[in-house]
Amino acid sequence: MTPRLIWRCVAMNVMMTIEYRGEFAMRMVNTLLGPLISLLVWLTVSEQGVRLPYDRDQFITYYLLLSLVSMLTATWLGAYLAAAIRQGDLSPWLLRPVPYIVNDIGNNAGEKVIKLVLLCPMVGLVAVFLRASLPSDPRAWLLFTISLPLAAAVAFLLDFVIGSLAFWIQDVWGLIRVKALVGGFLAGQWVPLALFPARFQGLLQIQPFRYTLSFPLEVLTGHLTPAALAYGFAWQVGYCVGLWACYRLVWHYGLRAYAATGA
Amino acid sequence: MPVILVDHLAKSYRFYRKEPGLRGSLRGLVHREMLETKAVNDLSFMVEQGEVVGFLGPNGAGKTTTLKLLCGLLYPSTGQAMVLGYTPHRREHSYLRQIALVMGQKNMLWWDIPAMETLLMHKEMYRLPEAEFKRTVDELAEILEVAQLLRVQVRKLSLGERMKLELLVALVHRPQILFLDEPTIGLDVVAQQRVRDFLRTLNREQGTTILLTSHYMDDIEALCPRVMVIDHGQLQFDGKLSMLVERIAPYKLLTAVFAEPVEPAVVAAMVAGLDVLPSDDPRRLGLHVPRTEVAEVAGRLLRLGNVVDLSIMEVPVEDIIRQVFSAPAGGKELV
Amino acid sequence: MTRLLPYLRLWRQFVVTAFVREAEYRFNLLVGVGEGLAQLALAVLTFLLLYQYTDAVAGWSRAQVLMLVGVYRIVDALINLQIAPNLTSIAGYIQRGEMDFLLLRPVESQFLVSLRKLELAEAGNMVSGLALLIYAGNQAHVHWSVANGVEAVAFAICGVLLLYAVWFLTVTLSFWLVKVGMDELFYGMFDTGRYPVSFFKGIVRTVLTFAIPVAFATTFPTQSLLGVVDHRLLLVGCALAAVGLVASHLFWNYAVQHYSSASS
Repeated sequence: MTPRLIWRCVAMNVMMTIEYRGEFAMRMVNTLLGPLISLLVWLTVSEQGVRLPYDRDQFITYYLLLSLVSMLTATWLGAYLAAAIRQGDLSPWLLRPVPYIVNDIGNNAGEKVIKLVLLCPMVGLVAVFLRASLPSDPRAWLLFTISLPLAAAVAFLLDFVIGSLAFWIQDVWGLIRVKALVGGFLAGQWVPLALFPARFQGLLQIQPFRYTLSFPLEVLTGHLTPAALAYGFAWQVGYCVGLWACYRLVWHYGLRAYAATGA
Repeated sequence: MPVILVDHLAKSYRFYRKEPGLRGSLRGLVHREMLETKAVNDLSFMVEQGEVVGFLGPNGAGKTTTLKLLCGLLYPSTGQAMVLGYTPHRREHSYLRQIALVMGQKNMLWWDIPAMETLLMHKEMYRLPEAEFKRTVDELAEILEVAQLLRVQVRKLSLGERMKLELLVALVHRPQILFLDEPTIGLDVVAQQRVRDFLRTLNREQGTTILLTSHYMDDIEALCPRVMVIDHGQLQFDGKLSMLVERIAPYKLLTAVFAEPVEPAVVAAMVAGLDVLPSDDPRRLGLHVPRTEVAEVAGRLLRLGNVVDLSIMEVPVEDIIRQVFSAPAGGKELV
Repeated sequence: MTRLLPYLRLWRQFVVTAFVREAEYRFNLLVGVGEGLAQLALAVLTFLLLYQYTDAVAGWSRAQVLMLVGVYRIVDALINLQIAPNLTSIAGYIQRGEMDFLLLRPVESQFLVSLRKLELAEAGNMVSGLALLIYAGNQAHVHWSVANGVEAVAFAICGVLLLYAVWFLTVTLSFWLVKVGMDELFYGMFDTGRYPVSFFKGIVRTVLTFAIPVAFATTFPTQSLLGVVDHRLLLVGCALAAVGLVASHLFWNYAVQHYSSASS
């Protein structure tokens, strides 16, 4: 039942998205804009002859694909979930024979289908404009395509679990906003993690945000040793499994709290 | 001198038709069908100062559009309106200072804060002197019985309380004309009654001219000596409510209750040519009787003997209105 | 003056109302301040990461760039305090039909829709931005002077007015396109204000100076304080701001007129 249901959710969300196509196109321009500005700054630094851990092509690869990856792994439902829990809007869902998370997965996937269609040509154009030479190693692309859905899953589950804390915490959205900010920084949204000082690298590599965004890009820019790759994939899969367990646990006890307060 | 003069007013607007389903959405990207609707079509009427006029009509008949045209929110497509000597759509500040619009489905109160703040905002917007502002607020708050609610956050109030505050805010600058769009929608019976009482007081004591639309016949019956029936953007009737009733329903409702079941044959002979209403009770007989024949028919029934109860009533206005609007467009000429 | 006074009194009421609202949501205030400090810290960190590899980028030292971050935070706070809460609401007013009520008030509607809401929590970000500006200025051995300060403020005001005009022009499109989604784009554009325009080259720099005039809001005020700005730019800024404001007003009136002839 579930795949067909998810497909219906996806189709419905695609329709909604078409309705708001102008807004989505703008949002995609914006998604591309942030990384592009960072890229231009780093290229300026790089052209001054400063020695940096990344060369020009690696910067371009990183930041151009950053817009794609950050779009594909983005989540935004934690805040809605928190509101639904707090305002009691969750109740109708609990009566349906489908876990609430299925709807959110559908929504998330549906929007991304449309966004991908809008964003890809833009990224392509910029790539041509910058005369970018993207990596040609098929193995790197293969590993990238494996780590990308994993990154999306980590990001989604992290968001969902934090949003679910609304079962117990009144104003969880404050936490969600701070997470978005700090999480973005630690995920390499502004500065690639590889450019952080060496003494922080050990810590940076084991924190979860790396596996929501930075890791697929690191795989692609190709500076990871096979050992580092294996290490990274192990952490990424570990976070997936761990967060899924968290989700089950939080919802198991959360629904009891929800029913108890009768919200 | 009438305060509102409407002369062959018309308003049409365009919209796109949307097709259902995913495929329809996709097709809509390339091609959309544009349609034009006449929301108001050739409307002419006058309103004198101090009148209370009710607009009746089914959904989408053009009632709200008419109100918006008179407020100046919409440009007429053709024709013109003159309110208090102003052309509404120019929205001159001196005009806006003399009118107010209240919509039952939309609120203008700030949600998270007490209504007093919204009132103070209006005080500055309408440039009301301190003393006059205070007096008006005290006076209105007393009539509406909301004095103690002014300092409570709006979101914590009931729907009825919010509506009363909406009215207070709308009236704080003492407008000459008050436009009301469904002012009692969603309110419980008691709250509806309060709002009606208030509007009547306002009209009587301040001479405020009131134009209102409503779905509730009770509103119209209680408040409006004069009604206008609008359908398909056109004025179908303009006059006294009682006249409308006579025209649509030129008969009364006569009900007789007998001590024991009556012979159907006897009854049939008795009421030949009259409209007999269906009834579950064989002792009860309901009839639609033309106004001129009421006395005679009643007499005939009484002569049968064993009548324990006889009542003669107007047909409920609700029913009449329903009858008007279930008729197809132009099928029933009222004027 | 007599025409302006009632508007000043009305604006004062906007501020009072904002205070009352803010007091309703004290936790909101707390999160706002916390978030602001986090943003400031991350902006500073980004530049610390950049400057670990070099001492100067396009002629800007680390301390000078941090001054600019301070200016950026102040201007950003100003925009979020008074402009953003209103301009992001306009599309909603139209969608929900609340615009009707705003147009029925005997007040310039542009004034009303542009200023009626304030987000007072942003004042905290102004303070932290100013603190960073002063600290970094001392690090950069700035000779503080009144003349430079006044010029910097004048530049910043021009910049904010220009940004307002450009944003308001795009928001006004909501009368035709129900949801344009310009807000996010605008935030994205304004984000570039955290870098000096000289970090960019060619077309990008021109765009950031004139089309999306963030240069007037952040780069030029900082250069004023450093005493290296081209003074003629202030005249350009004033002229652009005047043109922008007039254009926004004309377009708004046109849009409102369209609204009343096209809607039902």
